[in-house]
Amino acid sequence: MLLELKNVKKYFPVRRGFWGESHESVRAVDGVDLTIARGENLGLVGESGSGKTTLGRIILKLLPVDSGDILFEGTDITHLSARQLRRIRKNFQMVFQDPYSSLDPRFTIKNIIQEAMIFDEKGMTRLQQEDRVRELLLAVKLPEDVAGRFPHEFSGGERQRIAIARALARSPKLLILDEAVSSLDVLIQEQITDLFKDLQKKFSLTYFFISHNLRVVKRISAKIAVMYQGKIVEIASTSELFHNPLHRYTQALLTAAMHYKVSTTNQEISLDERSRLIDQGNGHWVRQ
Amino acid sequence: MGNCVCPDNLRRMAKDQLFSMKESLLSLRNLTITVGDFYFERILVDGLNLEISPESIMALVGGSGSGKTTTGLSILRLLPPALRVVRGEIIFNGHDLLKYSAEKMRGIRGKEIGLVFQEPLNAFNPVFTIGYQIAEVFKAHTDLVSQQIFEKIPQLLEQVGIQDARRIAQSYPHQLSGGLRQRAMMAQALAGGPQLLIADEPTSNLDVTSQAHIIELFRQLKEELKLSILLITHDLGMVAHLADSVAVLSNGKVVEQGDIKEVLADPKHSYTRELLEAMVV
Repeated sequence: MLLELKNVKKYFPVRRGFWGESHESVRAVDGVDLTIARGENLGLVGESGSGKTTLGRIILKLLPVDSGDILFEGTDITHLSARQLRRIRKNFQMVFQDPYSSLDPRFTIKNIIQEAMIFDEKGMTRLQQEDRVRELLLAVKLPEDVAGRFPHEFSGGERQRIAIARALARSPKLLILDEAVSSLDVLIQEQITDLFKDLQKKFSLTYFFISHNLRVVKRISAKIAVMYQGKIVEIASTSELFHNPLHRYTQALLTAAMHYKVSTTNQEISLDERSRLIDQGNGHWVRQ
Repeated sequence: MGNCVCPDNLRRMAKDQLFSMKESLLSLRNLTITVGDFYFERILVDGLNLEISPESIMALVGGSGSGKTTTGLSILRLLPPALRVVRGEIIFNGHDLLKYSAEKMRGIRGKEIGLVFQEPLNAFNPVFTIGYQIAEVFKAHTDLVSQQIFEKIPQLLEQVGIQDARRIAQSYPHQLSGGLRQRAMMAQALAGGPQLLIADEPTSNLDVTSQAHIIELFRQLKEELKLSILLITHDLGMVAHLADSVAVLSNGKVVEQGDIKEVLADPKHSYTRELLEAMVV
């Protein structure tokens, strides 16, 4: 088991009056259980505000949890110190949504990809680092001469490739893709998802793909979890989810994604406090 | 009758021609836009021809770099200084906008033709409330006094499907979710009472459920306000559910154009087919 999340909770306190609501905290992640097996890509779908981005940051240890456990390859990493984390961080990396803000505009592409390697304990020499940059650019199908150029010279799709090369610099085992293709046009989206599949074989990667875009998630994931208001409402294999969606929210999501129709509004779908994920057999779990 | 060129037929054909010219709300003729200088000129939009009828939704579809945003911006003469319209006409309600003075264009922008951007966070001023920014449009393009504007703003917000309109009007752009911001931006674009709305990737940054809501909203607005919409997007799926006609752009040229049902049922160009396949869930 590569990654395990056990009853993870993250609440954000909210100042009354700012939102005009009477709640005291936003339950961004409200008791989430997830497992990601090596080589089995997991997709996490949900709309904006469902808590999925928060969950991604929690996995990367960019946000502390309020309660629950995170296990990486069996080791509990929930409460590790910064020094202890430093050694493990290389194993999980992220590719962000916006290729225009995720690359530092003042750095050359070479510097951007190389930056993370400074922290590698292998202690690579300059030459070794430069070789690795070349290797990575080749892997993401960019010509070598991009290394000396700056981010603004590239299109969105090319920038994402650079972001991917950067994420791979420290040979991670898990790559978290947070809406990694959402801001690209559909044809480029296809190219990048094909690239992801390529890289998975080449570098033995596992992906955790967070997105609201079901079409893209379907192409990469073996299993899909659906998130709604901080809770997982359904988990199933990709084909099972599309053929047999059981939770009302999943059905609404699929209708919106495939037919661009609003079938039920979110006000009509509420989650009971006492609801639990119930096994339907075949690895298909639904919140009831 | 038949197809002979006798005077009766010619007269009939001429009338039809004239009739369809009057019918067109916006007409782009041989529009050519370039970037660069004498030594290095690149054509971004190449002899584009497009007709938008009143009360219809025309989709301009293409990948990034196809020239669709450039075309959209050129209608309102909002191109960055490095880009130049070197040929063609932009006929809106019978007048060539390219010949308009800056002052006349100001009377068009926001009043006759509205524009909705892809990223509302960039379009809105972060230090002013939504209500204030919509009021600005009313002040600039109508003769309404403050009290009237104050009443109109919640009405307008409700028209775009925003509940709790007064609270939203008093909020700042960053306080709203993506979907709400997008609706607020549409309210701002509609405040001047335009006949044509240019929407550039209006749902790209929204999740699927918000997207479905916005598509429904576009449909409503077209009916209720007798609005025409130029929808610029790379999402053929949305186009299929919303547009009346479509023009597919590749490298600045229109490669396929026509009624939406016909183009989707029988796409003739390979690029159109590629886009269609990419949209399959």
